[in-house]
Amino acid sequence: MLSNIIVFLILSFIKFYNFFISPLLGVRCRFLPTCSEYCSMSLEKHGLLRGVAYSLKRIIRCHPIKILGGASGIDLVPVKNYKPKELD
Amino acid sequence: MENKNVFIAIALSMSVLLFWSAFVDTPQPIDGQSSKASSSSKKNKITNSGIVPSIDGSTVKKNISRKDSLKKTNRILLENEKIKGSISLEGATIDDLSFKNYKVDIESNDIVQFLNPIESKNGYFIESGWASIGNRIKVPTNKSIWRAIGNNVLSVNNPVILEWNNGSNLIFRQKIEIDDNYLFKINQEVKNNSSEQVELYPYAQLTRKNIPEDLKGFYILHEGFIAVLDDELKEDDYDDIVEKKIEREADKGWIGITDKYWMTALIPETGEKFKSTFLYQDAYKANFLLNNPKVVAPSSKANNEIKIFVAAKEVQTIDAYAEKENIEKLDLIIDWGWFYFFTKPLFFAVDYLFKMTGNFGIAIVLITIMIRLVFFPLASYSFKSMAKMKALQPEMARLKDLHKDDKVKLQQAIMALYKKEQINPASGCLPVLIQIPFFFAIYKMLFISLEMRHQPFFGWIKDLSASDPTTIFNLFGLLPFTPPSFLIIGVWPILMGLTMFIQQKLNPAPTDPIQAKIFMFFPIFLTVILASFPSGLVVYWTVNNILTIAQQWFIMKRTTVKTN
Repeated sequence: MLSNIIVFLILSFIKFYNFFISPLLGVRCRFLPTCSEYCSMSLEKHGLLRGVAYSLKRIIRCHPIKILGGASGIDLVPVKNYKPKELD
Repeated sequence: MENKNVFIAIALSMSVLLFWSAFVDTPQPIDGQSSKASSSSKKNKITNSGIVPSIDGSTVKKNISRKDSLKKTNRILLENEKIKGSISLEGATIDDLSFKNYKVDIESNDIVQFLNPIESKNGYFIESGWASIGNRIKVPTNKSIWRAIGNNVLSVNNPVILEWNNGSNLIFRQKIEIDDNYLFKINQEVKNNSSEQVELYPYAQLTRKNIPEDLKGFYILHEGFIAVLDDELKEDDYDDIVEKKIEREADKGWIGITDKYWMTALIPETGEKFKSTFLYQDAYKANFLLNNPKVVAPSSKANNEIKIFVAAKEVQTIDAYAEKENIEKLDLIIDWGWFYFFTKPLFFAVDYLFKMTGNFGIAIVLITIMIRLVFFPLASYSFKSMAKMKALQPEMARLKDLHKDDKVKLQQAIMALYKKEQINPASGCLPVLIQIPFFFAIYKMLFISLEMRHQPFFGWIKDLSASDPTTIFNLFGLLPFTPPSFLIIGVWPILMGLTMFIQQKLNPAPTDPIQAKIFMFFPIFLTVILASFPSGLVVYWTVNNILTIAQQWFIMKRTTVKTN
């Protein structure tokens, strides 16, 4: 119940971000789907805990410095019931 | 609505009555029987109702002028490099204190009067003393007339000793010292000349009649009750305390009241457990009371030391005290916020630049440039790829149209396009996220900084911590009238709005028409909001915009030439 509310709040925040903040920052996505799409999808698919974990994992890879884990390209939300380990 | 007010009125009168009976009425009689009760229930008595700091609860309703009330009692004068004032011999309260180095405003020569006598309008004072269970022992109150022994002017290295005799063989003494900054040390002593052993609990209390007139009430800055108890920071607003008294037990720490620029703090003797209480009882009060009494056997003495800070929140001074006097986390009285570890070093950088250049505004401009430089490679990278992507937008639109219904296909097509055009992927979102703490840090630092107070910048900015005084509605002073305060929109906020508008124009406009309209209003909206903010902040924001525009414009220009 509580986790549903939190998921809903995060999703609303992402919508707010998409509408008001994202255009201010300009096109800067290295990944497709974009980080915001990825976060909402993973939250919808996997719920709060796993969704947030996947989202954070995505965001910390969203930069050009390869040795610090930077990556790019198509990167889909893992299918349900995958263990996070198998992500890599 | 009407009903609600009635209800509040009833509740208030009830609480007044309750407070009255609990604290003011007569000392609660604790007869021999109940004190013989089991030790655990005795303990409960102590914490629940038995002892309270023996405050003579009589409310001072009258408001006489500060000057008159200072004249009413005999006083010990005090002065050092930073503070001056006096201690009332009635109650031995520190109730008159001004900060010598801080003016009320830029024009006047009056210094900031911080502590005021109880009868003046903004009464704010500090007292210390002893409490006994059930108020059975006659202890000094705020009406007791103390006598100075020897020296009667308090200055650095010249302590003052006050004495009060309770008339039944207890002699109370206070040795008061000040250092060259903001610290009072009070060593209170009881000498027992009677034939019975007495138990007395040391306490100290801050009392403030009104919330400060310049209360910001702004969520990024805590003003009100504050304490660090067992290493944990506690912050309570004034209205929280009116609603509910808050008591906390602790092994170590300090309590106080913090304003935007000024503070008071009480520090109990180290190694003593104590109870801290924040309450509202005709006035805002913060006190501590030691858990264990000083047991004074017949014809012996007991001592207790209390440290009191009444200070301007100068970062270096407070930090030095935290270290020298070993007061844990006293530096948290300056509200550095969540990004403490950024905000504070940033402050030291700005302060260093300020001392180097002699102008706080120039220091702000320099620190803005430096932060921009740190992020220069990152920003360059992202502006570069943004510029390239902008050039590819028609092709992108075509692809979007082509793969309208298949998101995955579209994404693959876009990636293929990037590869073909040899575009490096953009810088991503992490670089932006990293900058957010920096932004907050500089914002907060400028908002809370006492060091920025009354510091001028160029031209009409005489005080960077105040809002820009000019306004567009009288053409920046050309027309001879002053518009109401919400229409004061100065030169700097307008510059900020303009630069923000230009910067927005450099980014691709949002495709959604409503969104585009909202974005048009964004700079205007922020201009109005920032107009009432400290001008130092607006200067920072404007300079940052200009630097962003310059960098982005330069890179975009170069990139377009290349793709052509």
